[in-house]
Amino acid sequence: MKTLIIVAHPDYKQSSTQQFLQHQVPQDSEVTWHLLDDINDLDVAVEQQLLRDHQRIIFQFPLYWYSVPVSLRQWQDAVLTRGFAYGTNAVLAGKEFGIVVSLGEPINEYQAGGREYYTISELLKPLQAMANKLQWRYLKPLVISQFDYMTDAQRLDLVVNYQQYVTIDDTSFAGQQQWFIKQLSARINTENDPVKIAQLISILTQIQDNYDELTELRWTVDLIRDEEE
Amino acid sequence: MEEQTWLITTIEDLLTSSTKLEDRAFYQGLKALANEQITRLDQSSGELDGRIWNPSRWG
Repeated sequence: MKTLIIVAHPDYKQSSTQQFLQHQVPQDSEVTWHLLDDINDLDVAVEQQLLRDHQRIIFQFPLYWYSVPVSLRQWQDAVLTRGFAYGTNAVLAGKEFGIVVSLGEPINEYQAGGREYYTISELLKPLQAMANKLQWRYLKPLVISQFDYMTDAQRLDLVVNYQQYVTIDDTSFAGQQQWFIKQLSARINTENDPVKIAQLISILTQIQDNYDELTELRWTVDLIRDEEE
Repeated sequence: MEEQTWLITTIEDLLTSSTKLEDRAFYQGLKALANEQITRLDQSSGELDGRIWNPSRWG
């Protein structure tokens, strides 16, 4: 699966969130980092080809006045045209659509009674409507609240959440286990220290054993449950 | 359970000896995943025992 991350931030170089995320993008050909604010003259044909070439499209931006930054808004108008994105002969249906949105306020203020009053789901409705019109499957957004105040442990969690968000097909626990198993195998292949290789192999074996045992246990429990009901 | 304790300890060793952010993030995530596996194994085997031990189906 190829993922296109469309990044919009008017002050990109000064944004600690965006700089952090850019460094965590998996270094492979499956993920494309596409910064809109670096583009002077938007070439619509190039942008549309990028959309054709990727299966998962992600909008990544800071929430400005409860909306997307102007560069992304202009991109929508220019690129998502009738006859290409929607309407007769549209070619973009069936893609996945994700949102990575950063907030300056604490997430728990985004609810009725909170300082921001409306939930993130309510505020992102225009993008959800866009996905609906384009027949894209709307993924659960990844919300990053107050990055600058995050603890070290929270930032480490964010790295894995973000990497999974842009690469993982199956977000269930089974999918997450498979993701770690794949990453462990990749690490074993690139590691040079024989002691570390041995440790990683043993970890991989145990994680895989646990995965198999869990799958079997769930299967048996579900079977008994079905018989009882 | 011994192998599970070993698993967590080994991941923790790798976590504390790593200096690169992406390595630390990976091992912290892996540790959380391993702990979740252990919890679910415990819950699922408990549920299996509970469902097999079903007096209403005796006799």
